[in-house]
Amino acid sequence: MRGVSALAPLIRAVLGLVLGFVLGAGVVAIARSSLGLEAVSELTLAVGYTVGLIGWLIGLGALNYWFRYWLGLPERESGGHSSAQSAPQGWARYFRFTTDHKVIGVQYLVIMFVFILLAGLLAMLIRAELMAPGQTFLDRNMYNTVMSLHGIIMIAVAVVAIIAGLGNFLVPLMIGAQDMAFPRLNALTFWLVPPAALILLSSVLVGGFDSGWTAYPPLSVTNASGQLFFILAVVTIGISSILGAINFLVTIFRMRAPGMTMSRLPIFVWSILCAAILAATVTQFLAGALIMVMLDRVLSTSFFDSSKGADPVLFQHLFWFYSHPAVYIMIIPAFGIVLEILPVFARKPLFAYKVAVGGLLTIVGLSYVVWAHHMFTSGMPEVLHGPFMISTELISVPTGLIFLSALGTLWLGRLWLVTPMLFAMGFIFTFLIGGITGIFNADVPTDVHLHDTYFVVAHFHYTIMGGMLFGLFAGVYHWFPKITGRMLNEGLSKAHFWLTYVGFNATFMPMFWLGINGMNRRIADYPPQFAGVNLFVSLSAFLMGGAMLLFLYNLVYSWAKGRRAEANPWQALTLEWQVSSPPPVENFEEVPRVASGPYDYGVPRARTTPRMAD
Amino acid sequence: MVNRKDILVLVVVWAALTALGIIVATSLPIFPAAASREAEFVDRAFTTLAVLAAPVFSLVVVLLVYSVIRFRRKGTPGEDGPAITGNVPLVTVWVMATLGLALFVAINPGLTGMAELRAHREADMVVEVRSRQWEWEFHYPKENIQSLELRLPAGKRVRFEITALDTLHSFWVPEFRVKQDAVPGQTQILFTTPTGVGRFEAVCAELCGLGHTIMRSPVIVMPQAEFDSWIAGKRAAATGAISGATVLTEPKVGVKP
Amino acid sequence: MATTAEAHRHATERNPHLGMAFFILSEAFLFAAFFAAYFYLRGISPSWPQPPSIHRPELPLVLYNTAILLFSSLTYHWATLGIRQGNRNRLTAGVLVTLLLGATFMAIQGWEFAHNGFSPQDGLFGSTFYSLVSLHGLHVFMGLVLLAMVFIRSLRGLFSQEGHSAVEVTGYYWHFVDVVWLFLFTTVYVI
Repeated sequence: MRGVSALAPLIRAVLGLVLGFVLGAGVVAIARSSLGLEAVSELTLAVGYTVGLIGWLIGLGALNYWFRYWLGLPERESGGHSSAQSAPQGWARYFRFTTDHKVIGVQYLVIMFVFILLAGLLAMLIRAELMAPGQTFLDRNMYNTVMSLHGIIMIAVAVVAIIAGLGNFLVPLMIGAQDMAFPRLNALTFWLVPPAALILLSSVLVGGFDSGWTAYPPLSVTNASGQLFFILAVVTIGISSILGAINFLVTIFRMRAPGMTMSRLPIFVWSILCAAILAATVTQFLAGALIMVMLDRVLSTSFFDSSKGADPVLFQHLFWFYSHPAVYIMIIPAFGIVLEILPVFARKPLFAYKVAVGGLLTIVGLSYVVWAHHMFTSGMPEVLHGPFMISTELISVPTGLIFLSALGTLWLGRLWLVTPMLFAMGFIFTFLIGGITGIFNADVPTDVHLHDTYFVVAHFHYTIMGGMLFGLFAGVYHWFPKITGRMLNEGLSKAHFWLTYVGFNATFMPMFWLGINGMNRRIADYPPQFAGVNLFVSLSAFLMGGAMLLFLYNLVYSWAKGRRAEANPWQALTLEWQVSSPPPVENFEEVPRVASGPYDYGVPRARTTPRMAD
Repeated sequence: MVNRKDILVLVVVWAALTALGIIVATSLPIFPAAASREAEFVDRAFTTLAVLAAPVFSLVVVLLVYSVIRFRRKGTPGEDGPAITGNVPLVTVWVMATLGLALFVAINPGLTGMAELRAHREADMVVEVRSRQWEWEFHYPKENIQSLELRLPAGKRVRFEITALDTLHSFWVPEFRVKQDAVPGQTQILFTTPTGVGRFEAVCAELCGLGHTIMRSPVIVMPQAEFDSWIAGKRAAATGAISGATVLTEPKVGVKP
Repeated sequence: MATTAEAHRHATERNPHLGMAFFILSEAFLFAAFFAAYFYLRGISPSWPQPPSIHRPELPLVLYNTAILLFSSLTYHWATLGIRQGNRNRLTAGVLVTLLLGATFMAIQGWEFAHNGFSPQDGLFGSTFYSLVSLHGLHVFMGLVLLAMVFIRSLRGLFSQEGHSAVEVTGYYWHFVDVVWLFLFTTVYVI
């Protein structure tokens, strides 16, 4: 049957996963038994997963090219970079190892959207439990696992979705390239995601993990085995992230079309470049920190064991050295999307483009030296408090430049208020609140009260959800026609926007009050004085959840049956809009020659092919 | 083109919204009871930040909303807007203003608040806080009693010596404002002077496993005389019968200043 | 007017060089995390090694092993210079010697692990020593895999004066592994 043969690589991949797991776990189990140790242990599972991961990649055919290269065998046409004729067409492409960046971008967007729905459902469970005081339907163990899973899945989406989803699809197009620098590596990074998701979700089978997404020891060293699965999943995603970042860096530096100088690069591409610099470097610290936790668990090392003279706070330093820049990995591409959208729908050049780029680069630099503002109450030496407070306050300056660029673009524009524009403008308001409340957390005298309260929860939802997620939504609305060749239903889109916007603010604004008044984080229950506000928050969250379903319906229906999109429905000037919707396999029939910057709105020019010389 | 009416309206609305923001920031009762000396300047620091945030917030909101109202076009715009790519004086002013504000905030209430928090590191009494999954235990070394409730005399400066016996916890009384993590193998120090008589709660502000939610203990601040009689009562009970509090191991130390 | 595919092929020739450079930068950060743990834990310990019952491994053996690894970088460089002049035999021979030296390094390191008298379970020094040296060893192993690839392809005559990108790129990686060892060796064995 055609359907089955189309899925054959995926079936082989699953077989490879299972066989690899059995092989890896089996060898360790046998070795352990022969040494008199219990056969099934965390070490057994960790090795099993690692070999299983390799088996998955082998089954998928992901390693074929490199294996043949290693052996010096001649290249096989079908196994290499897909050409227009030999690559499978249609939906089968999305279920196999396909190297076309456009396919990979869509694969990422779809899987990330599934994760958003899953983690969003977990959020609905959290809010259902917190609707009223007293235990409603989740016992405390389930609550901790649900809450922790919600956190880590959303964090993974936040660092991956825009870059690997929209970035993969758009960057080669926007720079006039045929594909990414390393197409096979690109496909590999995507196919690392399903096994990571599988092992993360499997954590509930082995006791879950109750340490949040932050995995602080000693709790993460002594708790249930779900923690190990968490570590394996996050390290896998980290590897995927790093390899993807390297791919973007080489692509952006080396694959630009003639005439596309760095000062003509669309701001979205700049934002991907900036995020990639961060992702390629600091992610290694997360891997290192989590591997140390795993070693403490599995090999009884003592990185964080205070009874051996170690310090649990070491983990926090290593963890936040990654996790603070991580939030810039999340938000900088969202800045890029918003600043890309505003000129199109204001019909005006991006205001102070070079200053905005400078702002992004400054944020990148500063983000390496602010991490310990997460640790003011941790017991780290007091002498560190002042410098980290100051560096954190300073990062608001380049961030302010992004706002200047956005507002300056809107001012005196001709505003076209379709949904991508609504989300882009809504972003400005919600991220403003997120950013300002960040100052309250950065300032030590207020942080000692606000740390680890719902104030922080509100702050990061305003920045990550009101920032990154709204940016992602804006980007999806903007580029959906380009990716799918169809238009979304504008009525449903606007409804999604308004319901989400109102629901979002109603959900998270009261949380600032809750935190100030003493509601601490990560609790499954609360004192009665918080009941009314929590009920209001929960109902607002349900509204937001409903809006997401509306969005889902719009996406699926429009992809199948929406009005066909022209090449350039928004009359935008960047290169991706100068090819068909969706683009041809090779992106451009001829190498584009770029003669001007990407934001020449209001400048007299030929309307038909604004950026490609003849 | 930018005309004077636009600028006038912007400035007036911005000033009005800022004024409203400052009024709200200084008068809206959003804090819990301020029951310690530290609470007073933490709340003051918070209010200062809110007051400084008001003009920033208002500026962005006013510009955003005004642009939407003033510059929107129905349907697809037929023509482009003006080809304005930047404005050096504006950027310069913006950078200077934001930099100035960031530095100002870092100094006040940042560094000044930090200085206030670290002032007066002499205490009238010491309470050891031993945290574990999932309760707080309070030891009064000088009075030689222990309790699962934290009772304190109003107006006396307390030095909390905080440690954990198993995993990370964090000791926090919202009405006192200040919190400090409890780390196994270390003794963390926290100073505060309770000023408000009343009944509060110490909650755990660091996820510590299943019982994190229920790790709450009563905190009662009372007049000195009442506190003294409570101590006396506890002592009598301890010498007379086996104390109801569980036996604890000695915390492993490294005292951190 | 160049077609997109031709332009793409031309641009891609030097991509692996930049890619490897960024990969090395990234791996440097991974090592940095473990070095940071080492220095942090050493900094908070009253004495080193911790626990005091550990004796740090004797120097002479490690010095010889370091010399072996350093020499392997020289042999690889010699091999690379060879292919830059079109000398395929020199490439093949040089890579083989490098491979054998690298494998010897790993074998000696393994012997040292078995005979140094302490394990990863032995407190702070055990944890940091074994994690750092093993992390490096893992990278040496990956280097051997790359060297084997260069060796096999060289045997098949797939490299020439004009086309030997994989040789150069593998060289970057192998020299990186060497440089990391210098820092590592100084940190855990000497200071």
